[in-house]
Amino acid sequence: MKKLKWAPLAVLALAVAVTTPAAPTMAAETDKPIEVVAPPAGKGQIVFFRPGGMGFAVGCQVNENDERVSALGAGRYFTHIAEPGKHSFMVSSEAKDVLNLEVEPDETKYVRCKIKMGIMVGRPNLEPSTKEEFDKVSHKLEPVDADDMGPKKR
Amino acid sequence: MRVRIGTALSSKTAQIGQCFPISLAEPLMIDGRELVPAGATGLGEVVHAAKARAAGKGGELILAARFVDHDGSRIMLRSFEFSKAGQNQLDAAVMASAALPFAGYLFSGGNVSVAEGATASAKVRYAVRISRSDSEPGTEGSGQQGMKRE
Repeated sequence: MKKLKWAPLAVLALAVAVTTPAAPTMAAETDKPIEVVAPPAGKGQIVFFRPGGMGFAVGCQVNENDERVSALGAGRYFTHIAEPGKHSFMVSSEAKDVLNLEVEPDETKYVRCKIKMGIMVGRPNLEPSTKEEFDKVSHKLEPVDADDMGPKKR
Repeated sequence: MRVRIGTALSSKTAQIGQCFPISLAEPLMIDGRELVPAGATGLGEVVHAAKARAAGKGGELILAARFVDHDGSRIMLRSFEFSKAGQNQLDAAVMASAALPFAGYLFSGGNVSVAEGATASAKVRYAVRISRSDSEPGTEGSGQQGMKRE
């Protein structure tokens, strides 16, 4: 009788043991990097992404020529189709940070937003990145909401 | 093609628009023929440079290869794969400040340094016609080979 008292626990342990091997398979599937499709012919594109981490409450609004491209929340990404040539993207809060890029036709560039410490509030920072860095974290990222894309709606 | 950077560069000192020497790190071959020898020289340009800053921000450096010259032809280049951010310590700076106000400003990110002789890949921007080294002088139209984008 004493042995039977532990039987449900033993069954539970067995169930866990049997189901555990499936977990890595699930993780392997969900850890698959996001596949970024090629830009339209003759255009270039930039993938902006913002892994989670410090300063998740601080916005990272990406602007070009004083117009919003998108608001990049923590754990989000978006793809910006651009004409080939020089581009200058800016983020700001207490202070502004500018990243100059050259977009090439039919190619994809990667830019990461990180939040750095400010005096009163965190300061977003844009830095050049790579496909490899994006692929490492992309499985944790969600696309930016549609209403956060393009110029700000009034 | 592989392009060699001919001078040391750093995100600490580089200026946007600054030009620097480049050369072909290996010969440009098409169909087994050497069209442009290794060592052909040209120019690159700093597209973006930002120093490492306090509060953990790393330096940033983006370089472009513009052209190499060979035998009177200027071969325009594109897609130079050199774009780097230095080691940042943003998270460490924020955590330090959480423990002790403004302590995060003592953290500085790393600058990006490029050693003289470092190489990166590039592509030919436009098709150009260049003389083959085995062509006979004065034979117009022959001894020329179109070079296509990589």
